[in-house]
Amino acid sequence: MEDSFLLIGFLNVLEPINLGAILLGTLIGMFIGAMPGLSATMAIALLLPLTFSFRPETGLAMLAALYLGAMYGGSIAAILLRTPGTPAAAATVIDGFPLAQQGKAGRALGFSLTASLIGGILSSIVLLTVAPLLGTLVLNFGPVQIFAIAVLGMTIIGSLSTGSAVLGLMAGTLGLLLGTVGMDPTTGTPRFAFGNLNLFGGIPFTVALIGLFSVPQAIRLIVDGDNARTMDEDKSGVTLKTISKIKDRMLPTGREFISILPNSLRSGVIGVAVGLIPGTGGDTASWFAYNEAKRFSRVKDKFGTGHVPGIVAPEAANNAVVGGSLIPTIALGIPGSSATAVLLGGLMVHGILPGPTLMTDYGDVTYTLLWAVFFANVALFAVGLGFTRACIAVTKIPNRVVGPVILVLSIIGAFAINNSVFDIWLMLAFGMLGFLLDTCKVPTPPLVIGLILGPVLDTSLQQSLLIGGGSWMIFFESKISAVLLIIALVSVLQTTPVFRWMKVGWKKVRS
Amino acid sequence: MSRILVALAAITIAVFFQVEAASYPRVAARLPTLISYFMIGLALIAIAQQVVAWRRLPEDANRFAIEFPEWDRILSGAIFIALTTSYAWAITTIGYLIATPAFLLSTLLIFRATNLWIILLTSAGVTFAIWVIFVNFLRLPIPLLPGA
Repeated sequence: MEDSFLLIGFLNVLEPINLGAILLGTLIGMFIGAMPGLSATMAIALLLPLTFSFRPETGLAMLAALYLGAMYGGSIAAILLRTPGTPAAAATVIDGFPLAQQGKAGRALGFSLTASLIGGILSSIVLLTVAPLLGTLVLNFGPVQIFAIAVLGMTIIGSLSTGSAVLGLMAGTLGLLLGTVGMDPTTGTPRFAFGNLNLFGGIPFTVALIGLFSVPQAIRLIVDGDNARTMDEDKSGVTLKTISKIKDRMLPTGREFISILPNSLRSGVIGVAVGLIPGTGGDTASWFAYNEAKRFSRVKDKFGTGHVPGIVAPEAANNAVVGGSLIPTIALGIPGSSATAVLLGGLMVHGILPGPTLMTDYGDVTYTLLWAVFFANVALFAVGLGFTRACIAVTKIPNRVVGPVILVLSIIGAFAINNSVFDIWLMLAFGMLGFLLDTCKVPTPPLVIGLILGPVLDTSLQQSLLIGGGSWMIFFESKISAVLLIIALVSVLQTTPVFRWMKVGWKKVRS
Repeated sequence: MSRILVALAAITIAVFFQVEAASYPRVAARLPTLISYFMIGLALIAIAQQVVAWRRLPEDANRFAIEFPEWDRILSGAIFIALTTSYAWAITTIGYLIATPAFLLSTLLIFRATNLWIILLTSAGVTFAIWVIFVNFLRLPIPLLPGA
């Protein structure tokens, strides 16, 4: 069954419309990623409504390609302007910009593109092999285990999110609470709808996503203007000129390709591993890979001066994160990052529910998505070679022009989801919530993931308690769920002072 | 101080959900009640962490400081939010084809985003591009003109 889905997915992705969607997605993603301040997540959320009219596999292939394209696009602004287009490209600035300043901007971008290709292909191979295996394992899981997985996913995402772990967990629980809005799955009681029929079906996830990721960004672009991107002075106050033209060759030679291969593969493995951990993302992976490249290097002092391995490592890692973070998303229905949460939103828009059935009931669509990630990496390389020079124009668009355009797209996109004016206001309300949370330094990704996992938790909890005759001990009768829940408890406890107190107590006992 | 405010807001939200859920059947209220207890617990931990952090501060430090952004930033944000809200209202009353260029023109002019010609071109270009994609291609039934 699994093999036939693998073949169906492969044949699906080769259809001209899907290949076209991949190429278009990569191109759009690259352009959006190149604009400083616009993240890959926002790019997917904004363009999600565009994919409604497509077949699910075509729409998802386009979104996956967009994600990868935006990851590479981030490095264009990082290398040319010294301003990362996406947070995941921050580490690329350190060596990318100095190399570009030496008149080798094309070379820097070429290495970035090639490393992205290697990291991306590696992660797609892992995705194509591990996700189905994990998916088969998960098929044996019942509601009890699914509840435990969802609890674990939520707690890990909350506690590993940037900033305060407690605030991350709080954002996650707020997402879970908002996820319970709508009809109760067992009794059909409308909850927290306040008589509003639009809320009986729950909060439309994609509408909330567009608001949470686009509106705060648009407000920030307007408020900050172009101040945020003028990083044209170095530490000593010397003015550094940003690059406005690529004059040299981009494609690395065969010898250069072989020389970057070990670093790219190592960084790719780091990217996949980091991507697998829910709550972490491209930025963590790229810094991790950069540090490892430096640690392995014999010429550590060359890092920061335009040293090629300093570009290769973060770029291979941040593109490898895509495949890694898709593994828990596809196999368990638990998104590992906000970008994969939006991709999962793309599945839900097409009526495909996240969870273990993704690999069976919707196997054809899911396997097409897995293959699309593979092909998108190849497409990215081709599109990158052809269009990187054109992206320079995009990096020059003023922030205050981009902000209002994002808002128009968000409002039209929110309306497009259900053709409902209510959704426009709901999107703006979530946008304001996101902006408030950002201002108070509360991370928003756990909230998004909570919104997805809320209904999953709700259904699996009700089913588990029915199986257990109303006893909560049902969660400890299964070894898998007991272990997962204990890990979840530990991940919550490590955010509190309890562990420190235990350590102090243990030391006292020993002495 | 902002962390305390966030925690207090979280407690308020959790209590609101709990009170609201109290009127639902037991099964329907189970998960929201459970989550809201968890949220209150986390908010109390956040408050406790802040209090501990305050106790470690030197005695002369201002414990209740809230970092406010500059007034011109607040004003810019408020104007943009007001324009956005007006646009959301206008799009359903005067229609997309008038509301969108009006919103883009006014926002770009107020914030002096770029020169006048580019502002005019951007407003017209974005309105046209979105019309082509969403209305012409995706058949989105958005009101285009007043009374539509």
